[in-house]
Amino acid sequence: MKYQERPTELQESAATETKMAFAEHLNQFNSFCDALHNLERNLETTGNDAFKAALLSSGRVVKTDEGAEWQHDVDLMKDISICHRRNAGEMEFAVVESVPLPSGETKEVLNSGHNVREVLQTFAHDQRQVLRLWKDDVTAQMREHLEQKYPGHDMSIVVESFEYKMSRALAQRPAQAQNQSRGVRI
Amino acid sequence: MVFSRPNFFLKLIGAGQLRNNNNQQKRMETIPENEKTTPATTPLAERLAYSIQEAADLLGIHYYTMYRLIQRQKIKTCRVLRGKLLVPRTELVKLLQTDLR
Repeated sequence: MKYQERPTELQESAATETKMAFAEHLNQFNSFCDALHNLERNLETTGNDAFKAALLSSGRVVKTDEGAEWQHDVDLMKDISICHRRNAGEMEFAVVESVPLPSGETKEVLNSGHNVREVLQTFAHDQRQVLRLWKDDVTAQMREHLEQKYPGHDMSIVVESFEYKMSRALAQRPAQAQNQSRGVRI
Repeated sequence: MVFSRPNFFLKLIGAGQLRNNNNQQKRMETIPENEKTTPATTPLAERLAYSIQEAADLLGIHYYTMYRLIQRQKIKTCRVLRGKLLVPRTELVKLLQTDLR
């Protein structure tokens, strides 16, 4: 089994060097994974908070690019909040994202629905896909980086170790995280 | 020739100056001979595609936002050999011209 192979000295040092080169990506990735896990763990509470905020109505209007007006309820992440509007007497919730582009800030509804819990679940599911995309891209960058830095050497065990760590960070909740490591110690 | 400010690239991209052959020719004339040919030394603003980090820097947004835009198919990307994502320059121009609408 590949993971049980003992890494060479060169692979160990390549792993250390790669960890430093991609430190920002790795740290940020872990932070976003934690944010996602917190959201998933507190889905019920966040949903209740959003519902309560909607009943109290902050009065802070969020106008999307399509011209629809929503009222801000709760911030979920940086630039992302949950909003509501009343539609024919029914409460409708939406996750609204602001993107501060140089041409001006855009606001867009990511997903919406009448059940705030379902809206949050869909949002969490989408964020998980974004993090998977990020993980795949970073490991591809690592592969490229290692091939350029160590031509002719097999560094697949190093990339796989990082890939495994990132997959584990994405899959596990912080409370369930284990201290075991596989392959190269990173 | 060193371009260091993201805003400078953005102006170049946004104004469509890169598509102007005359301007490009003039800029090429100012580039030292040894920097003209190899892809590694091609100035950032003249490249056909950017990594996620570079594209995010050009737009002035966090790279996580770039991944979100890609996941929502607001920006099309291509994958190079190792699976690394690249954002074509045309997609950045399109995004700046249309925003997210």
